[in-house]
Amino acid sequence: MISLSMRKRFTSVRTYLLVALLLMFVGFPLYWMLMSSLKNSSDIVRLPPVWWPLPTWEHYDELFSVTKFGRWFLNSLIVCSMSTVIAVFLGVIGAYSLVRLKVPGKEVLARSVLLAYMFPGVLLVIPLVLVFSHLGLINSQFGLSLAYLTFALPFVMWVMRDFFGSVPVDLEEAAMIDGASRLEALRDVVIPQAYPGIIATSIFAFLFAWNEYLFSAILVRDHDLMTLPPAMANFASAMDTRWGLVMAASTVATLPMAMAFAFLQKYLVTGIGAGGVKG
Amino acid sequence: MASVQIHDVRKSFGGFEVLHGVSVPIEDGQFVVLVGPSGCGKSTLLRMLAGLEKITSGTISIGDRVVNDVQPKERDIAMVFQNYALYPHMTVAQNMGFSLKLRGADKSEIDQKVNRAADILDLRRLLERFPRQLSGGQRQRVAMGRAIVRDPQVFLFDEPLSNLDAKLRVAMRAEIKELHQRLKTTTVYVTHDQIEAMTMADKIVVMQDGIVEQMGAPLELYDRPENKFVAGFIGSPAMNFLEGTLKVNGGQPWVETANGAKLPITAAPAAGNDKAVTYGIRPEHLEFADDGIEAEVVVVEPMGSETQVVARIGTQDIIAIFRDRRPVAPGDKIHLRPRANSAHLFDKETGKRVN
Repeated sequence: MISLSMRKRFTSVRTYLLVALLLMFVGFPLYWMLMSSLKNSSDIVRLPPVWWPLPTWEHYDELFSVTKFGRWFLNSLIVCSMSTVIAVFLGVIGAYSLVRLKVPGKEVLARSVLLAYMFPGVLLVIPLVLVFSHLGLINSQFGLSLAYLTFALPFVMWVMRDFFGSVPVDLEEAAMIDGASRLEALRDVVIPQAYPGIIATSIFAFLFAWNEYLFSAILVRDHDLMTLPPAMANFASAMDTRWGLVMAASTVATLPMAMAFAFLQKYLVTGIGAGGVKG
Repeated sequence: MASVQIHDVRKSFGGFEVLHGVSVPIEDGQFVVLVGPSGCGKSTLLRMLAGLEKITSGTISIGDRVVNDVQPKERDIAMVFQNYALYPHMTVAQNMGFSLKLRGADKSEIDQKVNRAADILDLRRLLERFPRQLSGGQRQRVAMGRAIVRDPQVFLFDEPLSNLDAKLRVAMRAEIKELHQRLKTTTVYVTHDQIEAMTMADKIVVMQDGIVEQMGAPLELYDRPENKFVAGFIGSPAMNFLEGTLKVNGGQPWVETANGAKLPITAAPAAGNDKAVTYGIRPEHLEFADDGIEAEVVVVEPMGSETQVVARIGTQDIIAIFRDRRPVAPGDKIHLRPRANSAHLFDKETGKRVN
């Protein structure tokens, strides 16, 4: 007969094996990206593959000296930061009011927020182009960050609604009796309870914007204003794909998000748990 | 400090009225306890006093000022919540000083007031801790500290002891009472526990279904409840009720139960002969007497200082309390006599007191 502790050990071994398998599945593309960016151009396509290349920085050199990668990276940072800040600011206030204020029909409002989130971007992009061209927001970083609100804002609102819902109303009431206005209570008492949610939604809102290709490719045509995804897509063409360049660019583009995830993962777990995140 | 006037206050939630015209005068420095079963409207009334719920009609005044439309922060009140509502991200000192900080007090003033409150409540060594690092009793004291620091006109307590274990509850009860004797701040305290109400209040307000059933000093309510609800609600163990009919036959009146037992009373109410009444008698007002009503002992509960006996008269169980120790056992036949001058008579239909 197998003892209980044996069985427990067996279960945990099985769990670890599964996790290891999953890790390989997720990690291999990252490994391949990093390694390819460090190989010289002939090694990249060599068969059998070179698993541990002698590192060369030629692709990185070219990336920063020949292309406008630095510029595009900065553009991405600006656009994504702007849309994240706006989305989180408006989303937090909106979510809070949907939870706490007595608004007629607020349940319907809350659901329609989710409905907006479910619209595929491809459906939104044509009307957006029409509206934006009237408003002079084509080829504008601000315009692009506004376009990103179409998915970032509903997402932030939806997740933060759950967070605010879980903050006991007594805390705010205590603050208001202590002499706070509603906004002060929100700022000093409610928001600090929802920090994990704010951090998690900020990262995801930023990540969605960081990875976004379609809106950016269509709304921004000026080469100097482009964000990373459409700019990097230009590295691949019908005649020739510069794999080394693509991989180096991808590696650098992945870094900010990887670092953010690494430092803030404990908040992310809470955030995902509380909100439920679209995959 | 200030008096509080609650005058003909009503509250409706979407057309459903939960408070039906409640009036409670509260004197300056008084400790008033609102007590009643859950859903009676006591917490709603307190929240209206705090400004957390709108008043549908009627007026509430604090001091000379009608506060119906005054924001909570302008009312100069402090409130202790059932779950303490301590700010989780602030230390004890920050929790207690939060109201002063909002008011724009400078740091030395905040420190001084927080320290004074901490001394009163013995919280000095906890000032740098966070709420999650405190026990239930300590959190309760911090919540009180936060209220004291404000030096408000009125303290409001919303069932502050119901999350504590029994022993701590007794200790905190005494602590709150002592605090009130020391600060003499007008206090409104909500509880569903009639023992808290009896032990702490200057004035008890008994509520049920959105109305005030009776208000008065604790012993006044205990000795002369105006209706059957108050009679049954105040006192533990509860008053015994026996159904019967009033018999006035020349001299001495009595109440006769369905199985023929005669329950003594001192004087007949105006109601008259053969009226259906409920006879109420507190457990400590039953005594052993050979000419008493025959009852069969069901359960004996020795408490040390006293003994509770559950006995059956006909089909009805009653509880009697005796200070002296008697060798009674389940199954014994005993004879109990209610003290006639301690009997309470209520109209069977309306529940109103008739003697």
